[in-house]
Amino acid sequence: MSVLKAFVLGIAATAVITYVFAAAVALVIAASGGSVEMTVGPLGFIEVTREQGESAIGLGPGLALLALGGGALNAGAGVLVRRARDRPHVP
Amino acid sequence: MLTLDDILILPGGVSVDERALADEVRGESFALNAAGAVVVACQGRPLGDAAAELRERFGLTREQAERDVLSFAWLLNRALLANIVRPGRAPLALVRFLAVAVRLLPLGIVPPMLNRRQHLDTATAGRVARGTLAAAAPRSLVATVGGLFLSAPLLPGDGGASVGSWLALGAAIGVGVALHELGHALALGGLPAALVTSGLALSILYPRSTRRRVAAISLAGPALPAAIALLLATVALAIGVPLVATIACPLAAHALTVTLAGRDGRTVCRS
Repeated sequence: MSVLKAFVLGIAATAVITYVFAAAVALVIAASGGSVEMTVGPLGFIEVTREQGESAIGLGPGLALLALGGGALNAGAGVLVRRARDRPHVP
Repeated sequence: MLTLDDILILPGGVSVDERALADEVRGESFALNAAGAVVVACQGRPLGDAAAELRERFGLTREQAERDVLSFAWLLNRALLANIVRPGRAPLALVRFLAVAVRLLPLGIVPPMLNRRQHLDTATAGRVARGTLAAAAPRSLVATVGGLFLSAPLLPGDGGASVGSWLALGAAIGVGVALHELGHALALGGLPAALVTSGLALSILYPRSTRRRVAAISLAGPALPAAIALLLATVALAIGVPLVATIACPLAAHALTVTLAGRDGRTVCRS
């Protein structure tokens, strides 16, 4: 069980999912005429602003951090799986 | 859960010679003893005929012959070396299966499903696509109906999804299932292969290969719907149409299967 592979795959999977879902959420908010700013501290995730009847959508760096978190979570799971596999079996 | 009316059929890619079953896809042979050879020779006829033949040739009791034939046919099906055809209409077979499932429910046992192996022509991408999409169609339909059922609460009320986007979401769930299997199949690159269905699960049987190739085949399945999802989401952001991004969501969810939560991800990490 390669932990590095698990990390990279976790990043890729979370990046795809967060990007697509964030785009869908932002577009639905923009289509309903609303505006929103999803942030955690200085980290922005989704920003939908409305100026002069036009919506502007921004996807922030928080999504990249989420992807890194997904990678770390998957790598952590990889470590647990490897430890469980390497544990000696007691008959 | 076989009966003596069931019929054993060797699938494409499995042939029988003197005393062995040869699997063209796995490149392996499986030895048959004399009784096993009799059962396989009776393929295309009800298993009851094979039991009668065993009784006659080996002087077995009726119960012993029937038990041997049924257990051997079950073993061959588990090993993906034989398909079992149940006479009668599919809805009746489903009702019978559900009746058994209900009886076993108090014991916490799910009745095992029969495997069905189909030859997959991997000579050209077009044939791979046709074969895979045809095999995946029933699962896609079930996924679509299930997706529509589960997402129905999104529908009613103010601010809920429109019927059109609800149907599009359901269709995208079904298409995602087919695209996932198509991705795996296209990555086979001419290797001999077979599609295996077991209940609602669909998998691809292919020969032992290098670690790199196994990883590539495993990754290609989720990669195809995920790549289409990325494209759709980018197009949706560019043209400002939320429905296109909504359709992309169930396709993007296939990316989850490259994590350790999915079989594809575990295969890639092991290879």
